[in-house]
Amino acid sequence: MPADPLQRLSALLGRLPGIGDKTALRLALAIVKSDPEYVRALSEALGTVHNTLQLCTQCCDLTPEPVCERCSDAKRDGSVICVVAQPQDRMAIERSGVFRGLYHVLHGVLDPLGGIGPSDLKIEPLLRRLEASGETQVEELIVATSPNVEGDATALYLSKLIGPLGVKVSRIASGVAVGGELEYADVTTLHRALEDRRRL
Amino acid sequence: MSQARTPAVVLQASPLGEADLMVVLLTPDLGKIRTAAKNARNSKRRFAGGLPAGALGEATVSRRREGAMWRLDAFRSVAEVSGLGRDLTRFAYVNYLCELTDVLVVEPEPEARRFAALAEAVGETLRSTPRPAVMRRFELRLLDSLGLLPALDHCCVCGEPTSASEIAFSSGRGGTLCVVHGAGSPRVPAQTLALAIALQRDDDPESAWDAASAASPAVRRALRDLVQSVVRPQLRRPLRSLEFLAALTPRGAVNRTPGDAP
Ligand SMILES: [Zn+2]
Ligand SMILES: [Zn+2]
Repeated sequence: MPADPLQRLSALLGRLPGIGDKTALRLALAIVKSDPEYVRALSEALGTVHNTLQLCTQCCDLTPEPVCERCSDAKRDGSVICVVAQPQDRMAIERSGVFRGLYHVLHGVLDPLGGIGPSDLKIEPLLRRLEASGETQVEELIVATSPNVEGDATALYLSKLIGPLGVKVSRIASGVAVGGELEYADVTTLHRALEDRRRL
Repeated sequence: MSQARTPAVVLQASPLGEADLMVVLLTPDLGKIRTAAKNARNSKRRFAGGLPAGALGEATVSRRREGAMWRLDAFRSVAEVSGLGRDLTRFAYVNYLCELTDVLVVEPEPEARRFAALAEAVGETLRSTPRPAVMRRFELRLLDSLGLLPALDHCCVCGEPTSASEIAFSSGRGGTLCVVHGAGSPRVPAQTLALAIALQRDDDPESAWDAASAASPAVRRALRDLVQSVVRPQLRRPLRSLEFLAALTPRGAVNRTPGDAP
């Protein structure tokens, strides 16, 4: 680690995903030039986020409380669980405001070459959750992993595992983008859109 | 600046920066190359269908000068690979083919037969029910392209042709052994060796696959063990795709023919 404070900060920032050397240095310089109040708030936020966030004991999302606000919200529909790969996917669905059920965060997808197998994902907590809820409560699991090979494989694995428990497992639709034009869609997307068509 | 259009199989792709991918390709004329695919995680156009391991198609690559890193400018799949995640057995098999190639092939040295062997195995696995016989043929042909194919029909010490119902085999010594040189070595059914010989030949893969698939479970297991005994000492690390396959099996998530899956 460099002794020079600026280079040190820059090296630390450069370890974050998606940040190259140039961006790291630019961010470090921006922090140097910022007003002291902002810098204090930033460093405090960095400390707090790490010390207080934990995994929700129910859905494995990140939360400052043992049980997150969604899992403790009695107004949400407990019969449907939407399974996502990462906390940011949950946030995207939540922002849309169209889903009022509960979530489950896997913290990854199956990736054989990346060394990510079923035991590396939060699948056991999901099974425990379904078993604990009994047959009456959770009726459907919506798997909302990305429509790529790893996301599909993860969804398929979950359906093989959970289908026999009597819970309906469904997959979010994929295909032609809404507002897009059909003639510009690529072959794979069209293929998928036709395969996953639904009856009107 | 040089640009090339080449047939290619994606061996592995991993995130690079915010939106890029590092993609390892096997090609017939450039060998195994590492490429940077700019914006691959956003671009639906240049990389339609994504770049999963096992994607088989035509790559457009370029580089500024000799020795510089390749850029992957576009990739057009010729086989339907995006449905790979909809069959876990196929998914695991294709990952195994790609990982085995990636681990065993170190040099960027071009080898058209090696590429043909991989393209054939990946293409066949994407097209039809995944079969262990397709894995076996590929493993043997990959070993052959690396100069590691063991002797299968003659003594690897004295060159004497081997013939008996059971033949001594030692991967450490170089393959099959005659009665004199093979004293004390474990024996392999002659039928297993005959299947191995037929599988690694260039011609008529269909009948070799069919014959290997129709053999008894014991013969198929012996074939798997024979090939693995040659492959395993060459691996620099355990294969993650095999650990993955093993992790899926107990739950019944993959169809694994007892004993002869990779
Ligand atoms: Zn929760
Ligand atoms: Zn001999």
